[in-house]
Amino acid sequence: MSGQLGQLLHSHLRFYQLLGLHGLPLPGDAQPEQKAQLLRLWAGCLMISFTAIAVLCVTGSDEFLYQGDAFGWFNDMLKYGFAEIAVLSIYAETLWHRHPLARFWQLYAALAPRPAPTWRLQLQQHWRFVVILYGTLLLECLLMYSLYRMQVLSRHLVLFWSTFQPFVLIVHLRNTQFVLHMELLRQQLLQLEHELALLAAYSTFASDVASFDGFEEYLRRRVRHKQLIYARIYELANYFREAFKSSVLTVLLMIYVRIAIDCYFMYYTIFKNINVIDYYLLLPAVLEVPAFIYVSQSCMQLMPRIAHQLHNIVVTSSPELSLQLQNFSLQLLHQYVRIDLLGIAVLDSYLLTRVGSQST
Amino acid sequence: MSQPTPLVQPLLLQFQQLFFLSKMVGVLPQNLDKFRYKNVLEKSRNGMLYMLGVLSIYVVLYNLLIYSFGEEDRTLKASQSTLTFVIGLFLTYIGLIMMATDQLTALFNQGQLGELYERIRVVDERLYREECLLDNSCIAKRIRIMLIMTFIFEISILVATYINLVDYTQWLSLLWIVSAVPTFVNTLDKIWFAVSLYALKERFEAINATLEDLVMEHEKYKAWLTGDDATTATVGNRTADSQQSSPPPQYDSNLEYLYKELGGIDTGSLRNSGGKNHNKVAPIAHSMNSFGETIPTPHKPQRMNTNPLINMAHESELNDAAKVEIKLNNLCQVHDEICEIGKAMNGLWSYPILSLMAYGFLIFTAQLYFLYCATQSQSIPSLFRSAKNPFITVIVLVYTSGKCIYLIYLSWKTSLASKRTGISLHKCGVVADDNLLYEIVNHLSLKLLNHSVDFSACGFFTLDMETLYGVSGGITSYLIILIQFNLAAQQAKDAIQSFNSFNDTAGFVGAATEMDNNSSTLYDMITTTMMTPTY
Repeated sequence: MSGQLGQLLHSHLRFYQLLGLHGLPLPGDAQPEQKAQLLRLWAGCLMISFTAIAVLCVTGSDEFLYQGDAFGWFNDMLKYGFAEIAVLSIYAETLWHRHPLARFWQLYAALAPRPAPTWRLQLQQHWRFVVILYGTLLLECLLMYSLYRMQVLSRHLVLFWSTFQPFVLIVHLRNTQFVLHMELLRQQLLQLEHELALLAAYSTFASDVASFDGFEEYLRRRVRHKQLIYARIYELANYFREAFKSSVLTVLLMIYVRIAIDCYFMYYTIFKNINVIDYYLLLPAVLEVPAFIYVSQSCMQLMPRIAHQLHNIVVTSSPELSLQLQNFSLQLLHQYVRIDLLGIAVLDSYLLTRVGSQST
Repeated sequence: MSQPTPLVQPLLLQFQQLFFLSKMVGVLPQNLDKFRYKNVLEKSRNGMLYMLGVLSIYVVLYNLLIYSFGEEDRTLKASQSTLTFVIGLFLTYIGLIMMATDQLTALFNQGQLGELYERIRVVDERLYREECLLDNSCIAKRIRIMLIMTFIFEISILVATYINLVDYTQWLSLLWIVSAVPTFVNTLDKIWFAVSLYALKERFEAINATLEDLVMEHEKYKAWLTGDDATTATVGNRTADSQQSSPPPQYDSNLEYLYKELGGIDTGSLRNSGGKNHNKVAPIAHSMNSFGETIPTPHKPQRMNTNPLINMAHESELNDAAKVEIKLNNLCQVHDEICEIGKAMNGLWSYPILSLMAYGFLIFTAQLYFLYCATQSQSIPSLFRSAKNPFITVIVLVYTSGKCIYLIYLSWKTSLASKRTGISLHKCGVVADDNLLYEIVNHLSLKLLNHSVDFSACGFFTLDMETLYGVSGGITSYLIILIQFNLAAQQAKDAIQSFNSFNDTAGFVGAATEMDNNSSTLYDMITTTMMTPTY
C-alpha cells in the first residue's frame, strides 16, 4: 500500500490530495490516470467554491466586511483580495502546473529509493515537518476555540471568521507543503554532505596510515558519483522552484499583508477602544513565515558545508583525482542551490530583517 | 562573410513592421530603403533631420497641451494643498523627458545599433555551423503581440479619458491626443530592446540545448553499450560502477504512476524530449517578408540524429575528446560573444532604461496618490485627470508597471539562461568521465564564471527581480508619507477654515489679513512637518 514513499509521506500526501494541494496520484493507486483526472476535478471545484466565497463576501450586502468605518472595511477587503489571489494561484498550480511536481517526485524516488522501514524511523526522518504541520494546526484550532469561548460574538465576527478562516487554513497548509518539499531537499543535501565527509575521512586515513593500489582511482570514481547525485539534487531544487513558482510568492505575500494590516488594525482598535480581541488569531500566521524561512535557510546553509567537505578530501599523488575535485568545486559554484521568491528575494533570515525594517 | 546566399536569415527580417512603425513615429533614424532591401540598419542624414523635426513638433505640441489644460492648475494652487501642486509640476514634464531621452539616444546610437545586429548575425552563422538551430519566427509573432497590446492599452486609456474626463465640446480638447505620444514612443523603443533581448536569450538557450543534447546522446550511447554487452541488466542512465558500494539511483518501475504527467518519456532520458525538439525548428519560417517580396531561402540543414530509431548504432560525440574540445571551445566563444553583445546592448539602452524606470516609479506613486486625492474630492493636476476614475487608473498602472516589470523579468531570465550554460557544460564533463575533457570543462567553466552578463540601468541598479522588491517597498513607503502629509494639510486647512468662518460671523477681521493668515499658517505647518524626521 505504501509504495516506495513510506507510510508517513504517503499518508500526508494523501491528506494534501484531499485538500486539492497535491494533484498527482500516489504510488500504489489503481488506475492513476483516472485518479489524476479526479484530483484535477476536485481542485477545480475547490477553486470555484473559494472564489465564490470571496466574491460573495466582497460584494455581499451582509456584514462580511467590517462596517464600522471605511478604514476597517478597506482592510477587510484587502485581506480577502490577497487571500483570493493566493488561493487562485495555489489551485492554478495544482490544475495546470503538475509537470514539475511530477519531475520532483520522480527525482526524489530516484535519489531515495528505499524509505525508512518503520513509522518510528520515518518520524525521526521527518520530525521537522511533522512538528511544523501539527504545531501550527493545533495552535490554530486552540486559538479559534478560545476566541469562541472568550469573545462576545457579533454577527460580523461570526460571518467574517467563518468565511475567512478556510482561506487562512488552506494557505497555511500550502506553506507546510512547501516545508515538506524543502525538508526532503535538505535531507538529500545532508546525506551528500555526510558521504563527502566519509570520503574525506577515508582519504585522510589513506594518506596518513595506509593506502592501497587503486585507492585514488576508487576515490575519484566515488567523487564523480557524488557529482552526478549533486546534479540531481540541484535539479530537484529547480523543480521545487518551478512547481511552486507563483504560490510561494502569493502565500508569503498574503501572510505578510495580513500581518501588516492586522498589526496596524490592532493598534487602531486599541486606540479607538473597540472591544474586539480577534487579533491574536494572527499568531499562527506570524509563526508560519519563520518556519518556512528556517527550513529554507537550513537547506541553503548546507551548501558551504558541502564545498568544505569536498575540499577536505586529501589528494596525495593522483592528478586525476585533483582534476575531479576541481571539477566538482566548479560545478558547485555554477549550481548554487538557492531558494527564492521568483528571484525577488532569497528566503533566508535576512529577508525577515528587511521586511521588518520596511514595515516599521 | 561574403557569400551570395546567406547561411542564416538575419534577425532584423523579423523586425519589418516594427521598423516601419518606428520610422514613421520617429523612434529610429535609420535608412528605410536599406532596411527594406538589405535588412540592415544604416545611418541616414534625412532620417536624422526627420526625427529631430518630429521631436521638436512633439515638444511644441506637448507644451501647448500643458498650457491649454493648465488653466485649471492655476486655480489649483490657491484652492488645494501646495503638495499636490508641486508634485504635479514635477511630473508634468517627466513623460516628455523620457521621450526626448529615447529619441536622442537613438540618434546618437544610430550607427552602433546596426553593428549590433550585424554581430548577432555573425553569431547566428557560427551557431549554425555548430548545428545549433534557432527559430526566429516566434520573434515576429512576439513583436506583433506587443504592438497589439500597446495599441490596446494606449487607445483604451486615451479614449476612456477623453470621453469621461475631458470637455470635448472645445476643439482645443483634441490636443489631449498628444498626451499619449510620449508613452507610445517610449513603448516602441522598449519593444526593440525587449525583442532583441529575447533573441539573445534564445541564443543562450540554443547553446544550452546543444550541450544537453550531447549529454543525452552520450547517455543513450552508454545505455546502448551496456545493453548490448548484457553485462548488466540495468537500463539506468548511469553506467554501473562495479566498485560502487551502493547501486546508483535509477528509475524505478514503481514510478509508472507519474508517467502520464511526465508526458510519456522513456526511463533513460532526463529531459522532456518534447520540449527539446521544439527548439530545433529550422530558421525558415516564412519566405515572404512583410513588404511582400520573396527572400532567398537558405537550404535546410540536415540533422543526423533527429530520429534515434533510424540511427540504431548510437554514436556519441563525447567519446572523441579532441573533436568535443573544438566544439565546446566554439560554443563557449559564441557564448562569450553573446554576453558581449548583451553588454553592448545594455550600454546602448542604459539611459532610456534609467529614464523609464524613473518614470515608472514616479508615475506609479503619483497616480496612486492622485487617486487618493480624487477619492477625497480634492482637485488634482489636469494632466493626471485619468486618476479621477479608478478603472482608468488600473489600466494606466498595469500598462506602466507591465512595461517596467517585463523588461526586468526578461533581463533576469536572460542572465539566468547565460548562467545555465555552465551547468550544462558540467553535465557534459561528468557524463563523459574523461580526463582530457575534465581539463577542458574546468577551463571553460572558469571562463564562464568570469563572463557573466548582468543588465543594469547605468549602473544605478541591476535589472533583476530583486530590484522589484526594493522598488515596490519604495512605492508603498512614499505613498504612505504622501498620504500622511495630505491628511495633515487637510486637517490644518479645516481648522483654519472653521476658525475663519468663526471670524467671519464675529466680523472683526478683514478679508485681506485672513488670506494672509491662511497661507502663512499653512506654510508654517508644512515646514514644521517637513523638518520633523519621521522616517
